[in-house]
Amino acid sequence: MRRLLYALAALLALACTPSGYREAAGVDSGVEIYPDYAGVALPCNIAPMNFDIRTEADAWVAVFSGGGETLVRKGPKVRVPVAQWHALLDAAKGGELRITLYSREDGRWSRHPDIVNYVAPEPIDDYVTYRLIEPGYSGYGQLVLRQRRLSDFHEHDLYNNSLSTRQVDQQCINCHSFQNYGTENFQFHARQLNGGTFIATGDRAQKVAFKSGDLMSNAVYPSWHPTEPLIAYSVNKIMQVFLTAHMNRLDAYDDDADLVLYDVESGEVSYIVHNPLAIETFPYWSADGRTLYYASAYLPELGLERGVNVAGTYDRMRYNLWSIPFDPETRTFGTPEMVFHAAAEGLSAVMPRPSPDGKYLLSSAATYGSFHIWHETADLYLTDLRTGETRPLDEANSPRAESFKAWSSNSRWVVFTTRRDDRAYTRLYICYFDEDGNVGKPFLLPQRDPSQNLSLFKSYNVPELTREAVRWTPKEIERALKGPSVGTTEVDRSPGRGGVPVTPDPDAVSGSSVPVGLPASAAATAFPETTAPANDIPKGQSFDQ
Amino acid sequence: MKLKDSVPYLLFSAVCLGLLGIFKGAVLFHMEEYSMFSTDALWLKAFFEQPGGIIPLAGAFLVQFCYYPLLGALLMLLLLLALQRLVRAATGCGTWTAFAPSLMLVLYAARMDYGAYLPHAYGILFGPVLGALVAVGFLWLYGRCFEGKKPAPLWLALLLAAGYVAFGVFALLGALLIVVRAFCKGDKPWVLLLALAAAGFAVVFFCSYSNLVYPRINRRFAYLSGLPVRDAFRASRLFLPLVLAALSLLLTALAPVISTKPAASVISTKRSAWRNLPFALSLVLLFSLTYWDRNFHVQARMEKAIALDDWDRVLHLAGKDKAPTRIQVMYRNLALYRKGQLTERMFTFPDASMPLRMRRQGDVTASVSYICAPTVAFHSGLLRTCERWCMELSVTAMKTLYYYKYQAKVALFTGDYDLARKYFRTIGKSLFQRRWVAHYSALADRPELLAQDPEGMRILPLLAAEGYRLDYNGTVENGIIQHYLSVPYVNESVYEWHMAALMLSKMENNFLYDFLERHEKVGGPVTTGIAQAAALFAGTNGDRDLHSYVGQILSSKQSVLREFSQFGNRLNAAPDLEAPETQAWFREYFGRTYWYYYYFTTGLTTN
Repeated sequence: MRRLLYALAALLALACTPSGYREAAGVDSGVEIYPDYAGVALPCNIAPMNFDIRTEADAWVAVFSGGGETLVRKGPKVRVPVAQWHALLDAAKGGELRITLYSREDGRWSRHPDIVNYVAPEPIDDYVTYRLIEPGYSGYGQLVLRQRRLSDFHEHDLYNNSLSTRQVDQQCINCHSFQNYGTENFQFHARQLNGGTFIATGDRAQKVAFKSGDLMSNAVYPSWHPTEPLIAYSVNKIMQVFLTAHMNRLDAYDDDADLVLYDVESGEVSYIVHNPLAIETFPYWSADGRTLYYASAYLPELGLERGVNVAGTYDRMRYNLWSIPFDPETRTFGTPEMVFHAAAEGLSAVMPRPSPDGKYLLSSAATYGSFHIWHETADLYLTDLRTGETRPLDEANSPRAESFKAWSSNSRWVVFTTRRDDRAYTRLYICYFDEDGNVGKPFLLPQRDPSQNLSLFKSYNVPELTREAVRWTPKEIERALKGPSVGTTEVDRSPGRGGVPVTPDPDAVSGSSVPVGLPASAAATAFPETTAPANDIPKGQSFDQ
Repeated sequence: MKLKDSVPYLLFSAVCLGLLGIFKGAVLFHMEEYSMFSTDALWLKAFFEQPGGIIPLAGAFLVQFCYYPLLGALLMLLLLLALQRLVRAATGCGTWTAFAPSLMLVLYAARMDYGAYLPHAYGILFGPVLGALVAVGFLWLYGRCFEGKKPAPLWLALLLAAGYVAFGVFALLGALLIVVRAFCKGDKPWVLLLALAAAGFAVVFFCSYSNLVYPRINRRFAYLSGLPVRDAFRASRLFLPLVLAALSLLLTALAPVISTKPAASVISTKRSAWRNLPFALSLVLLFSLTYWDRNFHVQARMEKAIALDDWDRVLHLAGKDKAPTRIQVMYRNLALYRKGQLTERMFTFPDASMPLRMRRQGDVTASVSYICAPTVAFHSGLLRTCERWCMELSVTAMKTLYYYKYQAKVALFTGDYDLARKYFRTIGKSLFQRRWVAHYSALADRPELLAQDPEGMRILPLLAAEGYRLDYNGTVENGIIQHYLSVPYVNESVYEWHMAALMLSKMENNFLYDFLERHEKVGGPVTTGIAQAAALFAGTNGDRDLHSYVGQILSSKQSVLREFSQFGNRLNAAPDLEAPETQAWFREYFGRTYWYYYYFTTGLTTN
């Protein structure tokens, strides 16, 4: 009886497995797959690169081979079990991973040219954290900070604002940041309902209210010092503009911004740079914690004055990249130095991200402004910190916007956001970065079902890589946010050593203010009548013929 | 069934189909547009991330049939008849009485007002009906399988726990009905109450606080899971019918008490009257509490016509408006533009700014702009404005077919074909949107055909008007006016909107300047509305040369010039223009002219 069952099972297996594909004739025609996972370098610990075959055929077989191992999947939806995939990657580490696709049409099998990928020996960090957000501009529905394990498809919420949202009050959450790829210390901002900055240090959590005294705003863009309990923040007056016919749809600019340093233990806030002639933003520490990089727009160079609303000239704002040395022992800053004079090249560079090995600096640069996530011209730029040379990262860029990016802790991988797929919703792409600065072709973050990318109407925002998962649960974070907030103490209010000015631009233009957000829905506004009606028609002015 | 036994069924069917299918047919159509259904795993998964998610999911599936309003009404009727039968079977109450909950749920649908333009939950139309079926189903199951049996409390507690996960608050309602029945019948009521209360509390508490089960729900509303809380509470019109429906279910559960003495002796003396009383009372409540607002229903019909590209119908409906809202006025102007008659006829219709009659919602009140901005912005050529409104409203409310369809069209018309296809893919998952998707997908595949498409022929020329680079961030109506006030002459379509904006804003000098410039550069016919405005502004200008020149330009519009002379003479002769009888006279004889608008239409507001 048992033998009979085994025989039946074997027959069934044989019946289900397409046969004859191994004898297929080779053809030259390529196959369209989604996502495009051809010719990429993969981390050796990445999740299965599942894909859909879009070319039409009666049947498909995909054979993965590398390091002497093979793996066969059938059907146009290629889904690889996680364990088998990792076994394959382990075998292929440091070498090629080939995908051979066989199609059957009218009973005949064809073998298509191999898709050849490279399995890098260097792993990528285990987790990526991002915000999922609809591209709305003033309202925010369900916002979620999510962590994804990169070796498989497991996702969990770090925090979800639907836990707190009431009918009247909403809550925006943003700017998550981790210390040195760990999750023991991390922070993010909550705005409006239960607003404040959530800062977790070990098992402790507190909500900090930053806006006090002369600070122009709450803390905005954060960067944890890699070793000290310090966070560099920008404080920004951010304004939005909405465009009727421009391809960028939306823009935002800083009416003003400064950099401050927050001591997590003492609660003290002090200025880092406070140049009255410059707008400084997007701070980011180097891996050794001895340099702080930031973006600065020097107003005289652009023909602008501080205090004048730059709404009418926001497209002339150009940021350069600067570095300022820091002594962790004395907690003092040195003299800033320019790293990339983007304005001189007609560019505006923001969001500096130094590689952990200290060799390179990635930034986003576009033709103007700082809100590159919506700028079609925004691209990734790479500065070699050893030579000072900057070039566009053409291997990773696309005709659409590339903006937020993060290095892996071993400096071998870069994850970044891009609108290349459809120009509206950002997706996460990963690319390899070898020791010599060669960059691999970017690939889309793998999903269990790749078609999710086509049906998800949210954008991936601010990817940050970490080695481990966050241990806080959403409800624990919610409890902390609902609790009382602690204030800060401003110290050393004298301006820090500001940015070095460059040759000023003699042209000066003033702008006018633009309101933001959706209009108040309930208030009725008068219909536009710009002239009072005349009460009568002068006699003798008829048109009687 | 005897004929007299079918009377309540026939009466109820007539009420349901007549009220929902015919009178509120356009509202049902709207419910389909303002919902969505998809077979994507990601979309479906979201429903199971809260207790009771099956109810809104099933509701979202069923509301698709409202694309054909009579079909949607028929579906509603069948469900409500099923509810009536189930109530009878579960409670033993009479035929007429068993209709009370169904009538209250008809009232729920019939009370939807402008708040339905900012929905926060899927399936709000059918959800409570399905939930009521579940709740009464629990009661019926109890009566059939557990009543009088020893392990009943334990089994029912387990059923409640599982039921809450699947059906949310409706399982709790079912448990309440069971307890009421147990008290009525004396079937260990206190044991049952204790068991169900403990089970209910435990399951709600566990689901709210455990990270393992539902990590994303707001526990403040956990006990109401499955109900459209944000739509139906906080002074909404929908709260009352839901309460009445729940109360009527509880009353029917009391049927065992009512059927026993001494109540029976009272009832038996006037059997028909008592038996019919709940039905009659429910019917009275239905008709007195239904939302009858004329403008709301006309607007809904206009929107259905716009969705089906029937612009003649829009104008037909506008022709009956004596006191329209700004939404109706804007829709009418869109239709006129599509028919190439904007400045020709826009002042032949009455103008007003009647307020939207509705209750304030909990957080965001539906305003003119919130309701109509995507439609109006798109069809007046402000595509990025339309897209921005769609994005914001789909975040403020929720994602619906209505927003996705406009976002898809914006993507198509602005050349983002990949993005358009992304939206098409999702929209096409809805049962009755495939034809729409097929039409626009064909245009995405062959964009050169867009210029020959009737919609493309009217919208594409408007994209030439850069106008403001910075979008006006006020109401949509003012945004359109401000946009077109500032654009130079680029083509006839833009010119028409430009002149319409000038006339609406009563900007005499700018009007004359642009009118003359276009005559000198382009020439061509002058529409009636523009001729009326030109005659007026030239006539009041005081410049005799200008007056004469305009008169020459308008030489082909002699009837306009003659009528203007008559108007001028009457205006100058009128002793008091503020007097109501004077205004009434001018409205009767010149109410369909720009002159009437210029002199007598003031105080319009928009929000």
